[in-house]
Amino acid sequence: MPEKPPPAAEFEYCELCRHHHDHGRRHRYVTKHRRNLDAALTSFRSKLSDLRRAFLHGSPSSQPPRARLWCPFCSIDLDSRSAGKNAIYHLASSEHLKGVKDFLRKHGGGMDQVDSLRISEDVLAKWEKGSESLSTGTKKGTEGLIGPCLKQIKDIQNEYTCESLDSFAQNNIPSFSNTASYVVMPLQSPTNGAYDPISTACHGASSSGSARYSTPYGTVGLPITPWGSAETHKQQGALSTNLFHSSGPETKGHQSTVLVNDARPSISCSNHVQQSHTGGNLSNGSKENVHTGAPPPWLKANEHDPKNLPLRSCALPSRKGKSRILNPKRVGAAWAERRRAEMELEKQGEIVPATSDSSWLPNFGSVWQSGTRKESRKDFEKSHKLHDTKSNHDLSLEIKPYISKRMRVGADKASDKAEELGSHLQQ
Amino acid sequence: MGSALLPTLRLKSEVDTAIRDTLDKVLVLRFGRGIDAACLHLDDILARSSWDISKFATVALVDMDSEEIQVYIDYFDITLVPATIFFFNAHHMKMDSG
Repeated sequence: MPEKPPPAAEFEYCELCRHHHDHGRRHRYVTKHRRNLDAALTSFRSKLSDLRRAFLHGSPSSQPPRARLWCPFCSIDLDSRSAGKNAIYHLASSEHLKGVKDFLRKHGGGMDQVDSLRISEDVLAKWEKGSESLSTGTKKGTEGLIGPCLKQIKDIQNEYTCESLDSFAQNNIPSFSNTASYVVMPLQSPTNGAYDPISTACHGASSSGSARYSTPYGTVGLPITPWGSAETHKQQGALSTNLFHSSGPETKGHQSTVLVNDARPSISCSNHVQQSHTGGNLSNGSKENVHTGAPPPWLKANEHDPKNLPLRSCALPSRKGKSRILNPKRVGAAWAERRRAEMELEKQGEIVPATSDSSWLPNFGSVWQSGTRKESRKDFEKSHKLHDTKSNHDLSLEIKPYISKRMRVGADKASDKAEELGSHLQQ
Repeated sequence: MGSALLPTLRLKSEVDTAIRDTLDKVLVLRFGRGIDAACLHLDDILARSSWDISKFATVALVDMDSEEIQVYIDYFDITLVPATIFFFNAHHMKMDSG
């Protein structure tokens, strides 16, 4: 039967640190716990002060502040939008006060912070007065200062009584209307005028088949020019740092083939390129380009140069999405690069995948032995060879009958006489 | 019978493929038996943590009872069951624990 653990070490879960511990009451003095406690209390205090300000100076009768407040002391979600009054009543209630005290007692905060974590009765009374007077409509003018400005910050698309917002809507954005809701539409036409000349450049280059730069995604702010030109590297910016760092006019072919070969980095490339989806709105009549939604050239399986393998392996990231610069001095870096290249070729069908050699073994260091991996590998191979040679010797031994010396001598003499006779006969 | 989430390798070719094709990620190979209680316990822990470490590590189980795996058992000089062996880019990583 397994022994029971000692009863003194009881594990508790700390909500602030989000882990179990067996420190008991000592846990509240741990530095990390105190830091988490301070952070939690500070964030709650800031949200509470925003809520207090909104309730006191805003207009509760109209749109209430949209803050959702989670009360960590009582584990209640206070959604001020749906139950605005309930939030302030809860924060002023005795249950909340009790919850705060219990929380501070449990997690080690000082009791002097209790008042800063709740709404006092005075504030509640002020709010109630304010709401009553607002309902009668007397305080409309004076309260337009802070409340609407707050709303302006939080809700810029909705029209409100704020004068600045009105003027902004009228002067700068004629499309805005005084409606409660406004749906932001994506750009219907590109704002970057560089697309027009580029699309014509694509036209001219596409006939040669060397520059089909279409992507299924719209690009904003990343004009695409033919590979190999000096402009490309300036304009590509961040995109060029990973892909074209070894570029030059002579690498034009390399660049295009680099991107064509590997589908995986192309996805990361397209992530860089993709800024927004314009929906192909340029109506230039061009065929097979980014605006017509043609597939990008680097995703197509074309002929590729084996020379590009080292370039690709060091230039392009091995993972989709995030580009990662791997440490060149990491263990097995050379093996990894070589193997990655082999796998790419195997994927494309250029190389037949090598069937695993039954004698292949990894570069291994034995568990119980010290020294380098090569040494332990050599030791293993030696011991294996010994085994093999022993087994070979056993097989090659032939069992022969015993021949005595006289018989051997007699056999030698007989063979000599036979030779003499043969020579005499020839004469 | 290994974990439902972790692959179980029974052939030398499978182990070779796992070691050779896991690039720039740590490969954790658990050598053990599915009927062993300690192995099952370890398998459970590995299965539950495999998702958390999936960005930098791959975990697989190797059945020690398979004939083809004996060469690895000799090579690694495995005597304790279960045994966990770590690889990175087809290089064995010696681990000092504790």
